[in-house]
This record gives sequence, C-alpha cells and structure tokens, in this order.
Amino acid sequence: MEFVLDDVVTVLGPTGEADPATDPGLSDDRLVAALYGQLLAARRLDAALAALRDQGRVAEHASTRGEEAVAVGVASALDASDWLFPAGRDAATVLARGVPLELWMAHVLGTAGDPSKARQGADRFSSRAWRVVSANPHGASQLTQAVGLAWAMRSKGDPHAVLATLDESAVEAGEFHNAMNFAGVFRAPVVFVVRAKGEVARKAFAYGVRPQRVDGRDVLAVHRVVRDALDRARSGGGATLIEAGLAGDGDPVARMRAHLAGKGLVDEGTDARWIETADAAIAQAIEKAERAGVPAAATVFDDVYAAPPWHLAEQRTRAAH
Amino acid sequence: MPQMNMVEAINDALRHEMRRDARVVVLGEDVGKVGGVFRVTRDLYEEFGAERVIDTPLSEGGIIGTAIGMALYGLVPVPEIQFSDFIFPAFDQIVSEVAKLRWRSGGEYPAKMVIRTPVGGGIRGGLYHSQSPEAYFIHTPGLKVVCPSNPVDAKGLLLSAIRDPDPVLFFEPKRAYRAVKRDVPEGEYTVPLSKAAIVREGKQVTVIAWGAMLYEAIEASNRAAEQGIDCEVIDLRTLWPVDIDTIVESVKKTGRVVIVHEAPKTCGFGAELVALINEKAFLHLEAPPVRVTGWDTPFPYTLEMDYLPLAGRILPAIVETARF
Repeated sequence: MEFVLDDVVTVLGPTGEADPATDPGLSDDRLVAALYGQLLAARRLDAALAALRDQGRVAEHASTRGEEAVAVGVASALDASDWLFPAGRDAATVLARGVPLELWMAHVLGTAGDPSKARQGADRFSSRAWRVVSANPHGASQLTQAVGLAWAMRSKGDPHAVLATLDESAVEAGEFHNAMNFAGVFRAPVVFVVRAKGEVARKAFAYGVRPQRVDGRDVLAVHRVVRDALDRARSGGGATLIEAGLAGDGDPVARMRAHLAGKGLVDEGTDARWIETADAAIAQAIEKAERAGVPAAATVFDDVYAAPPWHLAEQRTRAAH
Repeated sequence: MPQMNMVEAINDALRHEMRRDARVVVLGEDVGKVGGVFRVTRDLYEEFGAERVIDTPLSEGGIIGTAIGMALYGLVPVPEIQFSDFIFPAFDQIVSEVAKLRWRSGGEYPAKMVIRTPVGGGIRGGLYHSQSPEAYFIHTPGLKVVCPSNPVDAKGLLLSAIRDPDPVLFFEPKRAYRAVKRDVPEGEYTVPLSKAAIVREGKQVTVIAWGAMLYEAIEASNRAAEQGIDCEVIDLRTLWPVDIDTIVESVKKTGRVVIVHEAPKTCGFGAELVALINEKAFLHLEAPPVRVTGWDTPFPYTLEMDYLPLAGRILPAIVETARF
C-alpha cells in the first residue's frame, strides 16, 4: 500500500477560528464546550498532582502542561468499545475517556479503591471495565501488546480498534519498531499516537503503516485525525502512526478558549465555574480515595498466580506472624 | 496405542486441544506452512488455517508481546520460540509483562499463555542452540515452568499447561525429541502440573533430574546398583511450582541427594532445591546434598559431551554421597 505524508492537520487558527476544511464538525456546541472543560480540568489536575507530589503524597508526577489537547482529543475520539493502552503521563487521557476521577485518584494515591489493588506506581491506571491496559514505565513494551489485542479483535470479527499513546523517546526503543512491524504485517486495527517535538510520522512508511501528522495543541484537530484513524482501523484499513506535534510554544487551552469565545460559548464567569467544578471534584476525589485506606498487607500475595502455590501460602503464613 | 516420539506427542496434544478449544492459537517463526523448526506444529496450518496457526516476523519480543494482547482479549496463545537460547529478546515481555500482568492489574488481566521452546544440548547445536535457561523463569514470580522427559508426559503436561490459568514456560528437551518413543494414549488425558514422578524406587540416594538428563540419572543409578547402591530417581516434570512433598518424602527416606541439571551450577535450580531440602529435611540428611551440573561456562560446541552432566559424572557423585 502506498502512503503519502500529508500536511500537518490543523483546525484552530491562532485566533481560534476553525478551518471549515478540517473541522471535525462536532454536531453540538455542548460537545465542543465539554472538550474545553476537559482541557481545563486536565490542567487543574496537573497542578493538583504536582502539589500532591511536593507534599509526598504521590510518589511521582511528570507535568503534562501544554499537552492537554492530545489527551482530550484522543479520548474524545475513542468509542467505549475501543481499547486504550496509555504509556503513562496519561491521566487526562484516561479521565477524558470517562473513568471516574475518584477511581483514578484511588489508583494514583495507591489506596484500597484502586482497581489494580495499588500495585503499580502512580499514573499506571488499569481497568478491564474501562478497557484500559497499563504499561510498564520503560515505555514501549505495551505497543506489541496493543497490536496483539487488535489482531485478536479483528480475528474474532469484532469491529473495534485499539489506541496506544507514547512519548517520543519510546520511538527509539526496539519494541516500538517491533510493534510497527507486526502492525503492518498483520494489518492490525491499531492507532499509535506519539507526543512528539521532532519528526516521527515518516518512520511509518518503512512498516506499511499509515503516517499522519497533527497539531498536538489543537484539540479539534487531534479529535479529527484520531477519529478518522480509528474508523479506518475498524473498517480493515490497517494501522496508523499519528505524530501529535508539540514543538514550539502555544497554549492548547487558550486556543480552544478563543474558539469558544468566538462562538459566544465562554466568558470569565463560565471559566470560573469550570475551574471551581474541577477543583472541587479533585478535592473530593482525594478525600474519598484517602478515606478508603491502604490495602491489607496480605493482599500482596494475591494474584501472583490464579491460586497461591505452596511456597506463597508458606510466605503468607510467615508474614502474618 | 500408537508409538510416538516427543515431537509427535506434542503435535498430537496441540491438535487435540485446538480441536477442543477454539480459543487456542499457535504463533511463532515458521510454525505455519513449514510446521516449525523441529516440525512440532506440522500440519496444524492445514487443519486450522492462518488465523490460528500464525507465522510471525522474526522477533521473539514481538511474538510474546502480541501473544499478550491476544491473551488479554480472551485467546489462549501457545507461542513457540525456536530455541530457548532465542528467548532472551523476549525476556522483558516474559518477566516484566507476562509474569506480572495478573498481579499488577489486580487480577483483571491474566496473560495466560504457554510458551513452548526446545531446551538443552547434546545435538551439536553449539553455544546458541543448547542452553538451559529455566532458572531465570523459576526466579520470576508469576510463571510456571515445565520440562517433560518423555512423549507420554509431554502430551499430558502440555494439555494441563494449556488449561492451567497461569502462564507456563514449556521446555522441550530437544535431545529427547526423537530419541525417546513411547506408547502414547490417543485423545484425552492429562498429567497434572506440580506432580513429580518417581521413575525408580530406592532407599539409599535420591537422584533428582528432569528433561534429557533424566536418562543420564537413570543410567548412573543402574550402574550404582551394580556397586550395591540403591537409588531413587525422581523426574520433576514440573520445575516450578516444584513438587516439594515428593522430594522431601524421598530425602527423609534416603538422607542423601544428588541433583542433576544441564544449566550452569551457580544459581541454577539445583541451588534452590538444595536450599529447600535444607529447610525442610535438614535433620534427615546423612550427607551434604550434591549438584552435578553443566560447568559455569558458556555452552561449548565440540566439547559439549564434556560439559553435560552425563552418567559418567553422575555416578561418582552418587557413590561419594552414598559413602559419605
């Protein structure tokens, strides 16, 4: 299959006006406004997590400021039946998918409400109910897993797709190239989204994967290209590598706000309400998560195997005395 | 009952289980039309097609990584790694992912699969077609490790492994692939995991082995009998979780133990077995447990029969232990 490297897809101009040629044409102004709300919430959460880290309540947090449009654009384009493999630094992606903030906060704080029982580090949210598979923090081993899941999905005739996010550094890892190769060979229904400052998309040519570039600070553009790539994957068109460009400056939140302001959908009052709502939700989620307490010590022995073999049963007994 | 070698018995097990359970898929390098480097997957492609017998690119990390994704979606993958020496490019996917996924996801994402791979030396394979890497995987919580010694066990253990809820490393001793033939029952039967077999009963020295070295242990025990030493030989069959009860019961009876494996001595599985025996049967021991293993060197080509712990090296260890 022959691919071409199209121009970088942009919807929102510098003053917030949408290009009618690329505008995803979201049917409802409320949807557009909701995307803005998610961008704002992502930024507030980023700040809250930095504070929790500085207070020693969360082990780590790497800022995602300036990258909110990638997270929100990706999540808004996914269907509930699609699968998400977040690389990490993906809190906003997971939350914009609809995962309750309280559940996610239980995960990040490592309390008993975490669906994965507080076993992985912060920002490794995993939940089968939400079709989210956490990654190893090294950063690329999840990509072949995403391809395998996509392959299985297509093999069963299920018309869904898989999306995996990654940071640009993961492109250097061998597993990235493994995943691209397997995705191309298997024509798997999978979409890779790279948060990139440099050139990444053209690597896709080598693997028979479709390359795509998008302005990573433009939430409508990200939504548009991810939606199209997922549709292509679901209909048998194979894999896409999306380079979500984050070079240079520019504020994705301000850009979307200018767009909404042009439509008369936002003013200082609505901003304040969005922020107040986001902050209150964060505070409430932290409180609820912490109230659940930490998991019982003996739970460390659970789930190593389906049932504990003799040596783990021995160690559990020893640990209890 | 048909006579089969181990290659044929494993092929029979795969076909049986793929007919029984539509979730089972085989994947790997040349497992499809070619039927695998040792022909273990022969004719499966013709019966089950390309969606269930999947030829992959030459990348072990990619094979196990994609198998994980398939498992998460409900398939039961049985990936083949052509030689266990080639498993190391997939090491990260096995020890960091397959082994830990059930645990790290709070039980929601078990990455259940059976990784089949030929193991061991004695076929003039040289450095990278002869090694025995079982200890790395036994050391990793979350994995089960199996190594049959004969066709009957190979089929029965593979069926148990595929039906087991946990990921299993299934090491196939390639020196015994075609050398050992047995009457293998047709159709359905299983051999339970974590259950060793006492292949020779005896009272004086316990000899523990598995895979191709079992035959060396038996040979050495036969020769020891000529010297009046009565050995009990245990075929572990499943290395982890090991059948600790059978080992401890035997050592309590004999008070003496010799452990045989092809892998290097230092931190080999024999070391763990000695530690377990010390913990659980120390006061019954009449002699220090002894290991007869591959040397702590890379696996040699021309000198492989000097490297392997063959009967000629096991026998003096048995005698020494018996007379300690």
